[in-house]
Amino acid sequence: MNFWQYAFMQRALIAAVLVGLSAPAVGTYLVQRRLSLVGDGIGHIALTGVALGFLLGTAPVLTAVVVAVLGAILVETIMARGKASGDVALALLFYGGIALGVLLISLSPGGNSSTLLTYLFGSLVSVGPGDVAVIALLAFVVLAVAFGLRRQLFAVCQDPEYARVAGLPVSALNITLAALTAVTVTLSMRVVGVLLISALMVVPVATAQQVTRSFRATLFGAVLLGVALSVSGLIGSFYLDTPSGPTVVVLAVLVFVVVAGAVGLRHRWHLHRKPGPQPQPLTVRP
Amino acid sequence: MTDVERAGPTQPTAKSAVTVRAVVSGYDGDPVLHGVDLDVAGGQVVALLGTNGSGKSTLVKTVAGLIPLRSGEVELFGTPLAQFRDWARVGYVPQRTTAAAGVPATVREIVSAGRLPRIPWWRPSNGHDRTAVQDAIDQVALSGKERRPVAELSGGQQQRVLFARALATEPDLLILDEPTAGVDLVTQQVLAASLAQRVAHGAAVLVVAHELGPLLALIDRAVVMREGHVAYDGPLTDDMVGRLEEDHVHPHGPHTNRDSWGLR
Repeated sequence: MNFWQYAFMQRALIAAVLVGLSAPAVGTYLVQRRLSLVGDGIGHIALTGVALGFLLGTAPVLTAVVVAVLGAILVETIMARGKASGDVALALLFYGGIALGVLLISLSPGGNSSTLLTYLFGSLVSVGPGDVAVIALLAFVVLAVAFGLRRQLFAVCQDPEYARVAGLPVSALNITLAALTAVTVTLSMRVVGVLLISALMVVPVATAQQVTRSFRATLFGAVLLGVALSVSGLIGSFYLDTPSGPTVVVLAVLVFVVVAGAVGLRHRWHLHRKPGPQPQPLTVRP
Repeated sequence: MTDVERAGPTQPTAKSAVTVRAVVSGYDGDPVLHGVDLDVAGGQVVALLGTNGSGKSTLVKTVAGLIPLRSGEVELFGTPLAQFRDWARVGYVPQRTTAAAGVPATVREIVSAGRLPRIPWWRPSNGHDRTAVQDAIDQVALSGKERRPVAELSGGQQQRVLFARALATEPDLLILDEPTAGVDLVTQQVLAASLAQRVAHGAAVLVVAHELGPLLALIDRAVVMREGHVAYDGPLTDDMVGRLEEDHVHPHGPHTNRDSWGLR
């Protein structure tokens, strides 16, 4: 049987497409703001939400959305205050979040180390029929906001000080981006896992901008690349019998290395071929 | 709303664009400004001078609403800052060494952000927006570089991109924080020429500067800051020009009485 003939693989593939679209769309703004690692921290916090779901007997995705969004807003508030102690506060929040998550999952009735692993690193068999609907709904919200408010999010992430003088609601837009990050983390955790979701937000963007010159091309390039990576990584994990998250992320990193290497070689080739830039005479001001 | 009230591109020059009264402000900790008064009328170009730490930058950032007021009043076009919503009339050029961020962005993309105060979030940009963006790019002599990533431009060209972003909103007040710091002569001339054009349309200008260069001819008034106070407010004197020239020619040269700007 081929991979697409299994019902669980069909569900996982739909989820992979949605994750591949959403994660780099939000990730582009995070990279633009130079906050590449913040998705990782919010992933840590989301695990506490998953654990609460187990303990309360409700769907872990729903509790994870609530906890991750609240955590993300808290993270954004701490960063906006810009205090030196904020760095330590974030560390407390991130490591407290993941430790509490692991602790609560071990204590919960249905929780054991294998369920824990599927949330940490993703598992293609774990996407249930109900999950697909929830993931689709969340992805729709993320994509609508990330593309609908593209100009405003671009302006705020490019130059927050300027955006404030332009009269944009900077704090509200930053909180929106934080909430988008949290929702993306939650919708992606079944496929990529909370520990690796940040990679799918950041690595396709880093790869795309090796060859792009504009924000627009980077955003769309990263999204296309994200879909290609998550779908092919998922298929790879089916045949290799490996967890889906690490398979997708290893593939993403490999593609980055190949693209960055090729761009570097091309650059050196051009430098070698062309005469080097002539030293400019110093301009003397009158 | 105010667009309807405005008679045309030319503002009544007597009307005050910026009014600052007894302003105390600063970042966390001790205030930097200790009771500052300042007026900039429509069509007027005011240069803010003073040494590093004198409060020039703090003053323009307070006027732009970036630093909260501790006490005193700031009004833009007669409206108290807290109630002021017509940010489309204000063009702000922050002090930056680069226009680039973590993801590549082209000249046109960054200048287009300057149009946002004129566009509601739900409306796509129209022909007039695109014309305003192109005009701003042309004015700062970056025509033909619209699709270039800003990170590939020189420091002076990046400064011009930030200036074009402020022009794209077609502002009635331009606030510039050290636009001439370390930029090439061409950029200084381009800045002076496009400022002159905005001023001819009735715009007011508040510019922080260490070196005036080609801007010199435009300056109507100089305000010298010292230790968070206004030490001088009046015409630009030859003494000050001499001081600026000296800074300009020997930026790291020894100075006697450096922060006095020839004032007693």
